[in-house]
Amino acid sequence: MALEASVRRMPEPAAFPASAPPESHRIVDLCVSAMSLAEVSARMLLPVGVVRVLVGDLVTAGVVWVDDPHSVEHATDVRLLERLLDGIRAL
Amino acid sequence: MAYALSDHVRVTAPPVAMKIVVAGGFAVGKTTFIGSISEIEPLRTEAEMTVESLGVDRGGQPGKTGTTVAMDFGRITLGADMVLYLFGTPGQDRFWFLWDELVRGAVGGVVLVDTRRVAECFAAVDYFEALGIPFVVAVNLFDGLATHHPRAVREALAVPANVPIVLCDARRKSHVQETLALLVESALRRAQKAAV
Repeated sequence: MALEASVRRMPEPAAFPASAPPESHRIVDLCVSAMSLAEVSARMLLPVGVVRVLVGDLVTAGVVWVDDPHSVEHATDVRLLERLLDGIRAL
Repeated sequence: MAYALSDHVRVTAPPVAMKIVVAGGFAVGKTTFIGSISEIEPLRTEAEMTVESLGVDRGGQPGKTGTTVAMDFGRITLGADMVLYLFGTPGQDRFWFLWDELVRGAVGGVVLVDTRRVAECFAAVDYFEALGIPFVVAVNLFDGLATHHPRAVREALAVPANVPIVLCDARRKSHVQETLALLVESALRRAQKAAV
């Protein structure tokens, strides 16, 4: 799960696992709309490694899903780089 | 890869995530650079990263240990379907080049240079060169003044001619924007060449 992977609550999330710690509830609250793993970690003041584990459990439980961004392929994709350049210029 | 996304649930695809790494010596203005253009206040997080131990022969197996480092990052939403993340290289900056996780999947790097301490960014320049990922050198104008000509910086850093060098006041959004655009142009040219 990359730092820039996006975490999002499922549209119809499964029931919360009884064993989930309070931090997991906070993750789900943060991820009502998509948020990067790094940002979840920063906002919760928890190391990325800890958040990775909690998010992994939530994925298994069917509460959130994660989109890992294929950054390695994206970084050399001509069309995406063109869009990125246009986007930066338009800021 | 989408995990645990059931087929019957329709979800709009998340925006494409792109990443740029901002490197350079200690207190060279990385967080300022990120903050000038990020739509959020730069955030700090801690990540465990694998650090190759130093002082190992090139031929031998490098020892690897885990360590926790702090890094800053910012986010820029570009339209409805793209997000750019800027990651500042962490903590002990002279070892930053060992943190591969940060660089994996990055479009490229910005090496911020303080002309009073040019040597501090040698490691970053070397690393991007060795890795073969696109980078630009941005000379931070601390007092808003150019104290060194870019050509002098190029010579001091022995930066190849195909690497852009730009003067940049990290406090100014337009300068940061121009620097990022220059980097992406460079990455784009390379990708276009590779695609032919």
